[in-house]
Amino acid sequence: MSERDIDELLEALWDEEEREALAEAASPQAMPPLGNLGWRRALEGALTQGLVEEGGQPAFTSRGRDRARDIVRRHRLAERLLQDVLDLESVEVESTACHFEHLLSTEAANSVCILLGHPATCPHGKPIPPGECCRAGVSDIRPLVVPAHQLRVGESGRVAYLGTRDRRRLERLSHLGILPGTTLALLQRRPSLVIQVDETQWGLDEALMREIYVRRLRRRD
Amino acid sequence: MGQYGLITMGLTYALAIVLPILTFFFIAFGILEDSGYLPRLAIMANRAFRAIGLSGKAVLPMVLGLGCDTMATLTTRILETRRDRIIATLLLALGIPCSAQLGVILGMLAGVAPEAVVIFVAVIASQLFLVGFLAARIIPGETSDFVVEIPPIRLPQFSNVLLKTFYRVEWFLKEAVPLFMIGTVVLFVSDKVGLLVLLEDAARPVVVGWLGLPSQATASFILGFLRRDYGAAGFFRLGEAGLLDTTQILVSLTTLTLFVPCIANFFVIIKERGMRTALVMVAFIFPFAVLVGGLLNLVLRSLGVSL
Repeated sequence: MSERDIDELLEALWDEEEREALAEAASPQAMPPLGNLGWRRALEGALTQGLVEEGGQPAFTSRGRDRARDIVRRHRLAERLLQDVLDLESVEVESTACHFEHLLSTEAANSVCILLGHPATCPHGKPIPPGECCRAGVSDIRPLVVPAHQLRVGESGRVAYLGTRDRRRLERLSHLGILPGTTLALLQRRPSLVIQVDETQWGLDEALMREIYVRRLRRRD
Repeated sequence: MGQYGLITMGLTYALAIVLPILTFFFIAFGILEDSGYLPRLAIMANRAFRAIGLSGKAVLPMVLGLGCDTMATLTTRILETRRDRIIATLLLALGIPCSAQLGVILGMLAGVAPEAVVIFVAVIASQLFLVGFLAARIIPGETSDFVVEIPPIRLPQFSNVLLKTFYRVEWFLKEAVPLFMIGTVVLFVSDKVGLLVLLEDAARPVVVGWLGLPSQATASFILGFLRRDYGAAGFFRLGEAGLLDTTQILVSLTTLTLFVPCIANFFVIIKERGMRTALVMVAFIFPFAVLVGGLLNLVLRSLGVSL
């Protein structure tokens, strides 16, 4: 039994809670393959450390919840980093993130968060628990991935992900050809935002631009 | 026959007065359209329109409304949400003077001091913003996202413009002229039945007392509903005859511009937005126009403004 195993247990419990909250069916695959023995040992360790409470279904203590939140945050930020910046395939993302999360310290995770522009969801769509940096809206490291309206005039970016879940808006954006992978350049800011996607120019609202998260590319000449 | 005859008024009005003006408007609009200017106009207007709660795309019907409000109301179909369409329709009916009206308005403004023009424009513009702003708050629904494609600026193909103009004029003849005819019939019947006289008597105290206009103006207002610029022309004649001082000119022009839409426009609003919405709009616009006109009269008179 190691700290890692306890971390995995806490993460699995957090996942469980989220699924229940969304009224999704509990999936046995959610539990990483620790084996029943490893599982029980991890549970004992967690109990000993005062991270969970005994019960039919183990529940978090407040300390346990904090630690779980931290781990889940690191895991999901790692996934985002591996996918958006390092461009890994999703199979690799998952397997690497599993290890990565244990290597990131909380500060490193915050730096990653700032770099990615405080993303709200992981590539699977699950929410990333916010950290101090998000609350403060920190951006002293020049973020690599930003909402498109923060581009400077003349800059272009490659779309990393779309922040909206509104179906109408998603359809709208895909009609414009704005999907992860396409490049857009900001031509104009006033009086309205004007972007160029491939050969077409579009005038847009800021509201729509906020939902498009892009990775900055070299400045357009 | 007679003053309000189907031929003397209906056909001559629609064909001899409105059609030429409208045709030239369509040509000019077609040129603007094909050159790629209009989406750029929408981009420029977006911020201002956002303040009213509309999207920049609404500038298109508004500009068309300067040609013919009836057609512009049909054009509100390009707006995506029902809410946007209602607000645009309301503002069109309220404050956008159609080309026929504009002619008379400009003619009358030509004879007065520049400050009067400023006051007129300021009042109309401010009312449009005010009503738009309030409507955006009150009318439920979402506003659409502003997305316009910007084509490259290019020289319009003249044959294309002519073709479009042709289709639009054809539309006008097929759809709007019958409505004008119906309006004339209504006018004709009301005249014969004595309804017009009744309306005039009922309206006179408001026109004279609250708006401070001479009593002949009453007939022009009534006419103004059925025939927008026939009513306006009535004021023009009063002005020419020297029966209106500058304040009265301002008040009458303001009230006329804000006044209820012409009957053709009204029918189209019923068709596009439904009877209930149309009635609510008219029920609002009518007293509102009179109120603003009267207030203007009050303010100008009490401030002793003479231009």
